[in-house]
Amino acid sequence: MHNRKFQSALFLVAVIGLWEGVCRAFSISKLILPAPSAIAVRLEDLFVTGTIWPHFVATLTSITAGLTLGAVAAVLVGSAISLVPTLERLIYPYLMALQSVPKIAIAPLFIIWFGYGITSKIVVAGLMCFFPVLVAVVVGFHAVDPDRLDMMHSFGATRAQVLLRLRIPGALTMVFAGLEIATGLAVIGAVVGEFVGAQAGLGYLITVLNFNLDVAGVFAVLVLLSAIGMTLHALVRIANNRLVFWQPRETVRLLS
Amino acid sequence: MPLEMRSMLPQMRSVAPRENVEPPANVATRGLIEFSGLEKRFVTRTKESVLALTDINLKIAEGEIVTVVGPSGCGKTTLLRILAGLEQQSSGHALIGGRPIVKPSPEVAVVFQSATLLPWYTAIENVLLPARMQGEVVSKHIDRAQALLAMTGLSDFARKYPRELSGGMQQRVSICRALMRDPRILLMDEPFGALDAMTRETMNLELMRILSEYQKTMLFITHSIPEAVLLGDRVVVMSPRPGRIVEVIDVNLGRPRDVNIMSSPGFASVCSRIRSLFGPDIRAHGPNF
Repeated sequence: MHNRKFQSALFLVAVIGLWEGVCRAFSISKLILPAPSAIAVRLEDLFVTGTIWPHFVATLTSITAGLTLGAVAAVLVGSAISLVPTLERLIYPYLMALQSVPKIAIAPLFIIWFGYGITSKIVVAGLMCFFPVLVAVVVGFHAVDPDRLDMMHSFGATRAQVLLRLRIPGALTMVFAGLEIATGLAVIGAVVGEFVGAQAGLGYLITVLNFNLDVAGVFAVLVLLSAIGMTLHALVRIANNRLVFWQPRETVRLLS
Repeated sequence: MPLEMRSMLPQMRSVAPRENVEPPANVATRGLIEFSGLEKRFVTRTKESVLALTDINLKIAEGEIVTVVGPSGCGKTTLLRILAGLEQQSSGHALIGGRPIVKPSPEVAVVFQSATLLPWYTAIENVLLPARMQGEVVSKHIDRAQALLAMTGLSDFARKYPRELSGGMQQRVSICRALMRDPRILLMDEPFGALDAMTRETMNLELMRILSEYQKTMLFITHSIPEAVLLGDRVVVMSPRPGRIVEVIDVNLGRPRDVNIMSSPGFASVCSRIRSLFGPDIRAHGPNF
């Protein structure tokens, strides 16, 4: 395990080294592909001058707020759907149809409805997160082992007991799998929202830097965005391993 | 909800609820468990009616151990599910203590084919589950759970999670769980079918020891003839399509029994008698025949 981590770290170093070497050897224009060293310098710059902070804070807020609201809404709606069969029959098909609408394409509408401020970004990010978590909740609630259900019934379990002791803990694995997907989508949602219209945020910063032909700057912001995404992903994984301790994450496969 | 359905019969659903029947008037020779003229039909997804059980007549006395043997598809699990209150018969009577079975009762406990432990609870929490469903868990429940685990040699594993236990240990925990509420009747649905031969033998002996200690009435389902003979006071032999009782054989081997009995001539003759009841075509369907 240790060895494997070391190997993939080594691979990363090799790729960056190759990138740097190629940029220098062929003196590739920094307007097309800046060298990793140039990106690093630019990244440091953004932090030292403090330019990055308002954008960083704005985007991080949109992502976390969107993720939280989207996930909470999905858990509530998903639970309601799973527990009331009538609701599932009435609403679920439409929710699935709505899912096929590209959320990115309706982002401009959200700008109109919710303004240029942070609200519209939170809504886009939240909507992106909503569907994978919703599906995970519904699938999770349904994926009850029938033998365990028989066992609960044979001991005279009430509906509430089945829910509390069997269905909810059983669904957690799936819910976390959905949350993991949602973290990535939250980042996309927030950035897209900022692309469409904003006064702050890393997505907005990218458009500005791009306009100024500061390609190294664009890469620097991208590095920061993936760092945010990876951190969130790791946090969800840690929470998963704490809460769903009986099933280590590696053994679960959803949508892959 | 379709996904909740029994995995073994995914395409089937129960036919119309059981007609409102009065128990038979004659109560003189009543057993603790009584089936008379019992029939069970399922409707498949293609609206075909399948007869799963027909003409089941059986009386089981208090304290008796009855094993049911038969190939897959002979309805033995359905019979157990009716007794457990998880399924309703289509016609006929199924009585426990003279009363029709309408829902799962605390007098009856089931040990399923898979241990069906909840992975998010420790062994002892799993054993306490039936008590928890009846209300608050108090110290007398914990004492009983600990005593049960001790009896099955699992004291040191009380705080372990199911995934840390072997298959045999998991099934032992599930037997403890079944005994938690001190039921009169223990129903076992091929509980050791998934275990290796060695573990299975140990579990059989252990089960007999437990039963001699706790005095339960038991219905034990298996598709292994030697297991059925080793455990049972009587062996109910069933045949498939439609599931019905071919013969009920008394096992006069005395008690207590141990593994040595399996090499006795009496044991062999009961086994071969049962084996002869299954024609070559039926033998082809079932494993372990």
